[in-house]
Amino acid sequence: MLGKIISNKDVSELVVSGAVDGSFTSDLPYKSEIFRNLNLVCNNSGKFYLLIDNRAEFSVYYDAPLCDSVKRFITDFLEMKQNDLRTSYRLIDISLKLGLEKGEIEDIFKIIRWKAGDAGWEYYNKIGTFSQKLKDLVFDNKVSLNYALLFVKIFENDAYDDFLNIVPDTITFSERNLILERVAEISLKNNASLDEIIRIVQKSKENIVDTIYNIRNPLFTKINSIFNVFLKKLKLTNKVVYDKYFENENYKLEIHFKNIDNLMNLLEKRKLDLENYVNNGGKDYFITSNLFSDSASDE
Amino acid sequence: MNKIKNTFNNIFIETKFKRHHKTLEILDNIVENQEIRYIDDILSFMKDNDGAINPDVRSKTLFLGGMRGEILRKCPGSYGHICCNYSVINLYIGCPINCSYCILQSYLNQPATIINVDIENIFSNLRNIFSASKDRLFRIGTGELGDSLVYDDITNYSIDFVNFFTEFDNAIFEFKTKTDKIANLLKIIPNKGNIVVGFSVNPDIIINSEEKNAAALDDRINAMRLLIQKGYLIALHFDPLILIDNFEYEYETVIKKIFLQIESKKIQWISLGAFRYTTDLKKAIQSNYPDTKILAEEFALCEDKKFRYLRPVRAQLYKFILNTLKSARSDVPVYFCMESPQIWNELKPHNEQIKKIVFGDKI
Repeated sequence: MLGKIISNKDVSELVVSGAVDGSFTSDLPYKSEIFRNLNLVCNNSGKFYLLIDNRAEFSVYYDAPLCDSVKRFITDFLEMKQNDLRTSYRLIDISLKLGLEKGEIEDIFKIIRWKAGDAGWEYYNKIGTFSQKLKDLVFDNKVSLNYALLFVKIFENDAYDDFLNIVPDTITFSERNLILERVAEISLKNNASLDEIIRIVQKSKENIVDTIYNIRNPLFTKINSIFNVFLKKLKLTNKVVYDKYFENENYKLEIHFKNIDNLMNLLEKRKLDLENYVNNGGKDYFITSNLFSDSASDE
Repeated sequence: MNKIKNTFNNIFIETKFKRHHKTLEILDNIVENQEIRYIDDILSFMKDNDGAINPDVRSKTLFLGGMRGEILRKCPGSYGHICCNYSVINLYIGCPINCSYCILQSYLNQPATIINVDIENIFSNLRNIFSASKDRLFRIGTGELGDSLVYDDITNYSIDFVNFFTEFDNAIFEFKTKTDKIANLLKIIPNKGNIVVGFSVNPDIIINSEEKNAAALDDRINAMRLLIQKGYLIALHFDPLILIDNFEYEYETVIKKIFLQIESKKIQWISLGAFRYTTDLKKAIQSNYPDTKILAEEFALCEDKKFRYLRPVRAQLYKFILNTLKSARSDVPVYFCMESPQIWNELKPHNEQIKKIVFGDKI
């Protein structure tokens, strides 16, 4: 089935039935600039369907049923990239407006890289409920669809744009995903409202990623903070390698040295720092039971 | 009371096993008006069908056939964590109980629940293995990729397994379940004393929120009681232990309820394992059970790339369970499932008996 490019003058001769006012076709990702501003016309058993953009000069005409024509239009003229959710979503919109059947659109899911079957519809319908702000974040690949879905599931009745507005544009894709996930988890765990979370974030002097992490993980934050103060007092910051989550007591000390004298001096200095700490009554937080019990009692 | 009625919308059968007695027995128990389709090769069937991640969808399609590969496999355990020396037979792949925390959500991507009907092959392989290593004690179960009893009312496999294991002195067989589907087990007498029915237990509040189609705790305890009367040994699996509000009250209630009705000497072993997940499992849980709170706690990324509650939290949970078991006058051997050497050393749950039964004297 080949498409024919015809002038819009010729289109006006055709009976326009079921036409869709589709100025939205013009910014689809065409394979070539030459194809931009094309309309779609097809002969669906003698009934002509049209996707009209008043600015378009030409139309592509298929002498075939509507669904096949839409599929050919997509494969012939559009460049469907991986993760271009905006285009995929709009093509489902267009297919619905053209009056295609559910099953026909499910055939189109595959060529527009959309999730298959019922799951595909679920995604489409859920995105439809997103605020414009969240939709844009997803379509602009600033947040993953899965994290957006999780976030909306928890906060569907909240004015969640207020929260999205305080998340800076400068953060990365993964940071934004983590923020949405952690905020959802904070709410699930503590029944905290978005308003409360917004208030804490706005008061905090740290960046939003760290603030949300700390609210989400209060015990670990406490453990980590005690341990870091301990290392600082021993003058060992950034010199000790250890399991980030304190799952074991395997510590390594990194010492960079140039010769024996240099190494002896460094070891002597380390020894003095350690003695100093111990003589001042400092607790050994390399022993995790000390670290854990003080973290718990300080809470 | 059984919550699960095994109904399937689609049934596929591997052509080779079309007339197999187990296939026919299962079909007798399930077929209503479903269309049955026959296929030549399970692998091409899997390839041709989109993987259904949602367990609800998977459990509505049944595949009856044989399984390729090793029959008896060592439980994979977990890197950097102590393994309990368990071997598994994949009799069922897929489970309709729909626990929110279930690791199968991330392991399995086949579109159907698979029941292995090639029982003769399983038994002949096992017979060879047991005979070749007579001085080794095997601990074997069928509950790794599915619940051992959830489909028993249609397969009647429990009868076959109890009868088969009667032949062997060097093997202990464990049915692991969250159901109370024990009708078949009650029809026979386990003469050898090597059949264990392991029940995963949790407080009702968790059963109701996270184990959608599992039997209620009281029903599981009642099943334990009936099985003991019949001569079976019991095992308890507090796995996964889930951190919830009122953890201590809820788990203490479970332990008290069990030990009030079950004689501790009839319990062969108890395993403890705190909730853990992989990155893939987290994604599956978020997608399949977005309302669950189980992911909202604090977790540590461990050596085996699984996330577990922070070490002091896990230690506290385990310590509480161990102490409560002691107060309930339980002298049942306890072991941890997939826990780190640090936790083992700190809490030392095992005794000589568990060393012998579970670890073959070596931990």
